[in-house]
Amino acid sequence: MKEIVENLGRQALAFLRHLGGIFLLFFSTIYWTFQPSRLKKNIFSQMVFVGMDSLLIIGVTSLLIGMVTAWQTGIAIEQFGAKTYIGGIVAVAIAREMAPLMVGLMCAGRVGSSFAAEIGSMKVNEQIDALKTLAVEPVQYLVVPRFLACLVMMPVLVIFANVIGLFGGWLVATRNLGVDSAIYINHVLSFTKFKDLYAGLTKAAIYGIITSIFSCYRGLEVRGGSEDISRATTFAVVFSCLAILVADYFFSVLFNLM
Amino acid sequence: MIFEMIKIQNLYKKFGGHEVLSGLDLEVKSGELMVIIGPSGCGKSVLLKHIIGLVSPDSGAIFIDGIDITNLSEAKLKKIRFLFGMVFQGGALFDSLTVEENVAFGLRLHTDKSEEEIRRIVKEKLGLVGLENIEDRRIDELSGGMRKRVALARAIVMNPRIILYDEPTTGVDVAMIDNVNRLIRDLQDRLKVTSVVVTHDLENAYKVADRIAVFHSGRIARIETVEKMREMEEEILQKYMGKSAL
Repeated sequence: MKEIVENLGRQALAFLRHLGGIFLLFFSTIYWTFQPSRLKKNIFSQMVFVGMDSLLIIGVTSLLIGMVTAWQTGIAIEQFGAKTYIGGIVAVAIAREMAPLMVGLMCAGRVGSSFAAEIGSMKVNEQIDALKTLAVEPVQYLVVPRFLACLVMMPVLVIFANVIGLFGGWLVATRNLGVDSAIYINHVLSFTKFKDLYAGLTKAAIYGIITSIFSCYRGLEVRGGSEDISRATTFAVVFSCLAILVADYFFSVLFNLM
Repeated sequence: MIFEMIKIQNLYKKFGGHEVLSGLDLEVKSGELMVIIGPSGCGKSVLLKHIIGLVSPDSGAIFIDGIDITNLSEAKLKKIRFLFGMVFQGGALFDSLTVEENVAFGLRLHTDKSEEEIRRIVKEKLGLVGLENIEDRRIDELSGGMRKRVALARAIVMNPRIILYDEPTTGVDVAMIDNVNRLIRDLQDRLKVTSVVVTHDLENAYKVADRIAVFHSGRIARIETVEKMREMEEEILQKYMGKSAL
């Protein structure tokens, strides 16, 4: 019994230490974001990695999500004779929920694991120490470009996912469910409010912050060798996804109240 | 005038329950090449990281050019670090960058030099370490010895007054070890810097050192000239190194 309590205590302390570390890194990143820097090239290359290099996977996933959403809702609402509303339902579901969540989770997997592994590997090979000896702040050099890239590019990916998702829904609605193309587009436009788009984009930016900070934090925390790099990668993906899902719930509630 | 460029007083450092530095004292004169020798894993690299401010001691003082760096803010510490160049054990080159980008790293971030000037300096520093026409190569295309040389070029690119070497011959081909030693000694004589080399290999220490400090049980047990150290080699090896140096 004593061992269980001790173990729980240790886990709780470790959790609080990580939480504190994550908040410290977040505030430190905000501080260094506004300091003068000659590292703009880094930001651009990270934006390409987060945004451009994710287009294919986000495109394919969005297309499928749009198709599945259209198919499932189409069948469900057909019983009530409301099949023509499918465009509006797909649009709101994708813009508010599906696209930001999918982009968040996909980026947590693809981008977060890469951030944690790359920074962890730099830590193990003393490259982080080398940065310090060259009078460079590791947070400014490593974390800020990744943070800004996620903050900017994840909402951009959500816009892309919205378009592709709607196209997927249109394919199913017009080809399989017999909905007229003009009606589908008309309902997409009439159902979707600015608030829906705004909510989706805001969520994506927050998921970008979560993914970049969690992953970079764990990369910087790597101790020892390659074994801890693999642990860091797992942590980055699992905890980013978990935090994104928790944030998704709270922001969904918040945006509905607004 | 000869003065202490590096002065360490009563330095203590513990990691967990393990005391790595136990009241260590050391003075390195300006323009001197001091080799710190001790068995692998005894804490020599930790000492080097204290000297450049990467690790803070539990107690004690480290004076660099007369300034105690142990209580400096990170911003002031950064300015002090401009005095240093450091060659890490594995090179610690940025593997996402080319050789030229690695060597020019400090110049691009901390100076207003033109690209043309930067390229000229990079070429010159690479020439100093015996490397030519490898500016565009990626780090994973280099051998262990070449990496050490590129790391050295990066360390000297900002014209530091102090160069720290962490096990400079470790991971280098046997055939290249003497080249690296010659390079360290040659740079010392040409650049007139203050250098600290940590190594576990006494033979290499003889080839580069002005003086040799023996690290033992978290302290500097003795400091001797190369000649004196050669005379006392048996005693030193048995008493402090467990004969592991040869």
